[in-house]
Amino acid sequence: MAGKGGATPATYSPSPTTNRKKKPPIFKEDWVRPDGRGFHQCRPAFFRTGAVNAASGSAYAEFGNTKVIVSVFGPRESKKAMMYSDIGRLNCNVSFTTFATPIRGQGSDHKEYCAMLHKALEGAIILETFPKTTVDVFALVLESSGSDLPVVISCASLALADAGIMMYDIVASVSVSCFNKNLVIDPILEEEIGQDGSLMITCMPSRYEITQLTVTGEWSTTKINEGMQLCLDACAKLAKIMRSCLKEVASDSQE
Amino acid sequence: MLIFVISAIDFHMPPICSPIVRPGRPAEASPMVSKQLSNTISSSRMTDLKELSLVSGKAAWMAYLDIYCLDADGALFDAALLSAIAALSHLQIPSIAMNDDGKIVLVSDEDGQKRAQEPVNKEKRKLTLRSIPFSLTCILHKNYILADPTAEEESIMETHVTVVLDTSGQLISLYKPGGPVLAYTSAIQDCAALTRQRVKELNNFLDKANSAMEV
Repeated sequence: MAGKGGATPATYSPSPTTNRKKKPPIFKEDWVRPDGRGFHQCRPAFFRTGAVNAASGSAYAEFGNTKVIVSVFGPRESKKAMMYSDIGRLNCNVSFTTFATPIRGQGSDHKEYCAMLHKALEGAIILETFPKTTVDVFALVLESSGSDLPVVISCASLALADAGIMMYDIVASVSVSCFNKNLVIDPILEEEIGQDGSLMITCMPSRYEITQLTVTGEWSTTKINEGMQLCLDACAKLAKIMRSCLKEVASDSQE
Repeated sequence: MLIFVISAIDFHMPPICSPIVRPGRPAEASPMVSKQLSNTISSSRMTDLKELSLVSGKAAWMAYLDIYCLDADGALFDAALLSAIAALSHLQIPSIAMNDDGKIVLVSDEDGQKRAQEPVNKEKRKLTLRSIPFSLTCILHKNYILADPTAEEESIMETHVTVVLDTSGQLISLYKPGGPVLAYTSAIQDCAALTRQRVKELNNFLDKANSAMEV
């Protein structure tokens, strides 16, 4: 919007009129999730590999309204400045489209996602299989609707498998939000804003190994145990969907 | 006092789209395609900028057009222009009103009825698009013309010609950024003929997509 006036900036997004009905507080006893899901119910997941022809491997993931696309390039020559290495290198980058969030360009706030993606994946990749070279994992969040990082990690794992990068196991990731005494799995953006704490687990379900565990906010020991179990169960189910997606592609290529 | 509405057109090439693009440094093609798009959309006059005006001399909509390339496999400008046209044809301008502070606010249906103040525009409306431009990139190689090249073909053969025509068949722009092959009049005419054919296809395709959206 372009305009003129005292306190009004040159461009701004028009705000909704003030007399809107207030939403009920998110932590009340009779609270229902905005999208109608149960507290322990994940959003419907959709995966597809081979989304980008130019890449060695790629994947597209959709969790409800969260949409992510990941490309994997390599193994390819490391940058000249880098020293010799017996094992391969993993390079990760996560970016957001300007229209990913309701407010234009807000997605670029998440600078820590690159490091977190790297940490989540490096334990699952057999880096010894590509010495002296680098594998680049580039993720783009097309639409951000909550639980972005778990979706990025799961999608990146699928893209790595599609690229033929040797891994110990597929990596699945799920997050849980805490509201007073309630645990809510796979939170949407609205829920993430009002949460008291969050827990994200990235694991290799077949090996029952965790590659990353992130906890924010206040959690009791019992709540953490409950949250972890919730996440691990969800990761196991998610890994099945991811495997079936890979099998589908493999059977299609054989035919 | 007049308010000029600037449409910010940005063509983004994130690292996912090509092995050549790396994070931190923008792709060479990105600003070129952005500029080309901006020139084409403004010179085609397909949108009447007065439609984006809200209160004459006080407020107007600013349109941000962000185009992301997900897979760079040749003829980037053609794909970018088509997606820009599709986005503009799908654009709905929301119903808004001006509050007491002179600030523009969104109006819901309930609010609209309650308000004593007249909304600036009473209902959601679409932009009127006329003489829509479509483009076709061709590669000139010896005596051959290759329409709609892939990235591999573009990397091997360096002479490109991009012809932009509108739905009425008028030439909007012709773009030939150098290259070793000289484009003779006959070659340009052949490219224009191929573009004319392509315009019909793309226009039908866009109409079908828009009607499917409305259902």
